[in-house]
Amino acid sequence: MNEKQGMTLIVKTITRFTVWLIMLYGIFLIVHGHLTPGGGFVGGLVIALSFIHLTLAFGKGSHAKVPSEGASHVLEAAGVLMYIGIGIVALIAGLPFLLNFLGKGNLFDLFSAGTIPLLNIAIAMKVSAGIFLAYLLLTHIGRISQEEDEG
Amino acid sequence: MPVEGWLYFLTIFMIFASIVALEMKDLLSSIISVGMVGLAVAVAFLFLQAPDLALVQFVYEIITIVILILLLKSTAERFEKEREGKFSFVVKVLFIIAVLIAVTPLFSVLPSFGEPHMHVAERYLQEGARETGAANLVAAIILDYRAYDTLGEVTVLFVAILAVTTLLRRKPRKVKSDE
Repeated sequence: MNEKQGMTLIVKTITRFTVWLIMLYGIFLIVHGHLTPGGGFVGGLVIALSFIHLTLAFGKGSHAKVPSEGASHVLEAAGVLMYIGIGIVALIAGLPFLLNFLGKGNLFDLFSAGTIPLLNIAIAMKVSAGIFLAYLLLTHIGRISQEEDEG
Repeated sequence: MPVEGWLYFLTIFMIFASIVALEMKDLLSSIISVGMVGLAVAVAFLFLQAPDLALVQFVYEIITIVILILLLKSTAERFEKEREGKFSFVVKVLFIIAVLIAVTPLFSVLPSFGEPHMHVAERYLQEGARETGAANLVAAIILDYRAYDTLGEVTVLFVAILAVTTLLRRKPRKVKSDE
């Protein structure tokens, strides 16, 4: 691993322990969005924060696999398409756009509430990829201005 | 202390933090003061029993501070330059007092604290869990009853990220020339 980039060894070691907990909490918030306080927006933000945490601690070009700019673009657009697609599926079935057409299930079950968990997942993909993409672009701006100063 | 007492305390804290954020010459201190305002809003949401909003506010505030500090770092100007104010301090205070006097009659129209209008919400509270199957009523409202609003929100965020990408693209896309 490249020792020069990123922050100190202490930060890197602690990041290895904490980043998975942050990501798990984000996934918990998304999956349980229809049962407990939370939902796709918060869960997506927490997952984006875990990626930002990784890039801040390890710096650019580390072995940590975070989505690249292109992958973030694709994920973000896929989230929006998934949201609209769920609406259009209801339209094809002869129901109003975005109607909750799946079975409701039992209250407090993980698999319940029809399309609400699917919409939560779509929003989470969109928000996490979008916020992380904005972060990546802003860090590039900083690097470009530094390169201009040096060169 | 009752909820109203905590809310008054938090509101005064927020006003002071905003004044500090405006008056500080060190922009890093300003950003941290702005963050304090946002976190106080999150605590106020907790006191008003809105854990969903409080979660969003907490996480969003952290991301905002990270992005603001990145912007500060990339512009490399930490201290604010002296500016000549167009209006004097007295004029600003008089303007605020005039606006307050003009707005005060409107407050009597609003429902009193703790007794909101329940025309639509009453049905959501009674029938929401049965009609949507979601135990979290906030999710039931934003993703079932008001799914159109959420679609609009998703679109707004998508367009905003598109605009950021267009403005901050690292390598400008090569334009094919016909010549």
